[in-house]
Amino acid sequence: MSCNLFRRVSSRRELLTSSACGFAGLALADLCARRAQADRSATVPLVAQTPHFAALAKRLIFLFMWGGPSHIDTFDPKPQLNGRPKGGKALLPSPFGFSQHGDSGIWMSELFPHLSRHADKLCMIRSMHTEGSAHGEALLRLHTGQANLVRPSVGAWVSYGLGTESETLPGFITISPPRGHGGVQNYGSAFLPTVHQGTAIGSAELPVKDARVSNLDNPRIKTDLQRDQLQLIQSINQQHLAKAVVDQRIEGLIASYELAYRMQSTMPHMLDLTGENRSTLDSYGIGKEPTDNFGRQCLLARRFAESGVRYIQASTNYTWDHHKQLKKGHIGEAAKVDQPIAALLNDLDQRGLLEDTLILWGGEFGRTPQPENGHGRGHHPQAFTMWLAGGAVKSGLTWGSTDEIGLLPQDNPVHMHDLHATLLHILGLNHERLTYRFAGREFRLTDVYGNVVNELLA
Amino acid sequence: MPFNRFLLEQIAGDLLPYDSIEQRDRQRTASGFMAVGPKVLLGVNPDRQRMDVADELIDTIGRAVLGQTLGCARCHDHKFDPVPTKDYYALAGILTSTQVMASRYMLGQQRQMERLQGLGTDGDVRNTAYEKYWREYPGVKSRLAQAKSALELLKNRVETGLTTLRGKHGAAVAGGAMSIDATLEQRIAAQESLINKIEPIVTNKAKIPPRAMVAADAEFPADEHIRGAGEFDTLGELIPRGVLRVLGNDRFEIPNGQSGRLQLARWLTDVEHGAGRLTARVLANRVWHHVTGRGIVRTTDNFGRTGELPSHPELLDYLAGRLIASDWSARTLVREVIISRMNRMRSAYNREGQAKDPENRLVWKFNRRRLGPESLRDAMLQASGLLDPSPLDSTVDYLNDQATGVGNGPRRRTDYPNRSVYLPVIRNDLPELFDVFDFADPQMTTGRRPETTVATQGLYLLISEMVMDTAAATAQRVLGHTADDQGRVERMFELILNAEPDENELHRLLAFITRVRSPLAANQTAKHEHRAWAMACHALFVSSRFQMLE
Repeated sequence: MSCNLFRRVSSRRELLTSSACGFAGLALADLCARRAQADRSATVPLVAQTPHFAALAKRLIFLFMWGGPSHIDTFDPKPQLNGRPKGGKALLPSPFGFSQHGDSGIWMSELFPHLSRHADKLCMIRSMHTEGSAHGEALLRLHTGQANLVRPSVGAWVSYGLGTESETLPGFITISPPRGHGGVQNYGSAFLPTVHQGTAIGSAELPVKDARVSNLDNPRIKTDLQRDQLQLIQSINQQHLAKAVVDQRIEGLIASYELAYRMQSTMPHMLDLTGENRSTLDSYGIGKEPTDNFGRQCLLARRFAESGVRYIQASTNYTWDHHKQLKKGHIGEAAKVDQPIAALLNDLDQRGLLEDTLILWGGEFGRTPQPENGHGRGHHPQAFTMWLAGGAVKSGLTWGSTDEIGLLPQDNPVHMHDLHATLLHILGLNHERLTYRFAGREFRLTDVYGNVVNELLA
Repeated sequence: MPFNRFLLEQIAGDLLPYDSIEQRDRQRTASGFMAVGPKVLLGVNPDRQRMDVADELIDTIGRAVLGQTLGCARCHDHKFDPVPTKDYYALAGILTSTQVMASRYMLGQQRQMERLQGLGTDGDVRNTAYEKYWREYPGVKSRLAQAKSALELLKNRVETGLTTLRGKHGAAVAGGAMSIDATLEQRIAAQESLINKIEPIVTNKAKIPPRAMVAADAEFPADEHIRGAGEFDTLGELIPRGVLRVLGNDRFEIPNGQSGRLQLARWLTDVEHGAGRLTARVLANRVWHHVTGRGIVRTTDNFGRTGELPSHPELLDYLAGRLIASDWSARTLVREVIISRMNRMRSAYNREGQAKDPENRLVWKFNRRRLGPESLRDAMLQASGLLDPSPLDSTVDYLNDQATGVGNGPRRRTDYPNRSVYLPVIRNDLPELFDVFDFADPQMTTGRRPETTVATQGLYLLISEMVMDTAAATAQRVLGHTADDQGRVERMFELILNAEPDENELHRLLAFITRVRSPLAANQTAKHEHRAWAMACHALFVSSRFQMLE
């Protein structure tokens, strides 16, 4: 979309109402404002318009395992841990058996019996690495690329770059987000316009079935009266606008109230799963433990994906951090997410959505080959596994490797910045050109780093 | 307080002389400005943390006071402005010679946290006692539990168990309880008396004494090395501590044994040999920005080459000059802008003006603009008569040790009727209205807030309990004013919009009131009447008329 197109539209309101994509219009307006800003400044070369090379996926669902699942107990088997201790240091062998799955022969531990049936849909990255051996720093790096400075989250960048396909839903929705370890910063917009901040549904410590988006239900006024009241408000606004003759703010306000009203009717519907048939609910494990909560999150993610939301995150509670009794802990956590994730992959596939949806799975870091507190493992940002799925990536691929005990990446290391660059690329955004001018310079998600890992792409 | 004094206390309040403990504490508390910034606290290399904390301070002081993006020079000479890396590390030396972090006991652990100091005459003693209490608390608590089980063992005459317990937890068993000569009753009494001594310590938990984040000079102030590409562990040339050369550093000297922070604070408002004139311009521009909604330099935090040029440079210089001439009286400056012709102009449309200068860059009319979250909230409370103009006693005393919104607790209480400026601002946990209406991110220097018009704002205003409660209270005032419907609408406009309704508006409001009432006409009650008027007041709060200042 070019900015010339935008200039022909006479007002923000017209843009909002005439465009097929309400929120997308806002994002476009930002992009154009940015260009206009750049035009005014002689000292900075014209910033390239957001790249629009063909996107490999239209949306992304990030399944975040808060606390840090152990790579060497899930997707990166290290039989050597069972043998000799290396350099005298004690090592902790994985308590789980590993086997190969699907035609691709992807390795998985016994923790994921449901997911293992979809092995050929996955694209494993075994050579992830990042910084931050504390949860707070690692979460911020995962979600924003930086920890020492406040930066927009990945979802906010995506919303800024792409907007949303939905008329009534925002571009970035985060289901049950963590309130600790950086909290809102992990889905914040920082210097990007607030419209790109993730819309939170509930928070990690609450069961998502009790979660609400704030300010959607009016407990006091019935719907028909509300509509009447809104009409009164809009008529006052219209008269105000007529007197002002030209005012984009009043126009924007009028449009935003219409959108608010539509959102008010859409969101509760989106969150209400009663319309889903029993077999779907059962497939996600909804209505039984321990899968009910993450099952609901995954199903909500599918519903948002279907409705055109660009970036959807579902998060576990802070429950993957097994410094002791890792075996018991990982069995419990995997059981909560395994079936729901498998159901999500299957459901998206059957609806033809997996083709243009990118799934990302992982935690903020991996865990140490060395034991802690007997049979636990410590934080390990130096090497871990994340996986992708969807039409955009090579299915059945296992990319990169770690050394014989899973301590450090060996072949084809993928830094968190590289992953971010790749995610943006898949969504049709060039990470070096998706920039925002703040405090006198252009900022980007990957700072001055990041290489797209082309080998992962289908 | 004159602005130069204010700035001096914010940056170096802890280093200033004082006549009273109150003055000392006020100045110390002001220096908390140096400590409040965002930091990564856990799992960080201490050297890196030191450089990151200094970087945050350089960036904040640079943008907030000087309108300069100094942070750029951490890794390389500034690409656009005359700030070499050497100048950055000259400043960094001053700030790394300043202590804003300290090791202290909090929430069950010894942690590297913002430095705190007790206030009042015995502040240090009370603060030390407080931390000591909580450091020892787990031990005392377990001792109490052991002492109680010892008592049980004693009562049940399990002598072997008692002896074992004493062997493991000697302090939990009273000497008298083990006495061979004493009767069982005496032994029980001895043990009970021990429990009675320990129990109150556990029950009467120590409360946080008055204390504040306070900066301090390091014991051994030292210069900093340039860090290659900004990496904390790549040491380059050692740079003597100092200030920005381009703004004048010829008279800048740091006495032996001091960090240079006091001298830096003075230099910032020194109009002869320091940055004073730039500081005055940046402040004058901020005042103009706040009154008119737009700075003379629109990029309020960036006066560098990548910022925007001033629309009225002479005006900016005039205002800065007035500020300096009034001995940095911010009040005088604000008054001057408020009573200026600019601020008395109308915001009405004018075809010629609109054609020549649609952005109103030349200020041919008053800028119609949206109320920010603080004004929006205060104006609603004011209309309802609920606004309490006085400050809260303390914005933090109910928050306990950790008030950053970290963790999984519910949102902090913010439903005080006090003015918004007195509400606590807890990063990661802003009042909802602030969150929705573009309040500045508490972790960032934000001179100019983003302005958005999004659906979530509409939803908030249409549905928030706070807005509806306020509308209900306003309706109560309107109903009490007169029994005449037209008089009520007029009163409503007066309270909420400070305007009279025109015929159209009057007609619409009366029609609305009638409609909302009518289904209930048969059993019309005071409650229904009130609800109709509350909905009307609510509608006015949500309308653009209320949200726009013109």
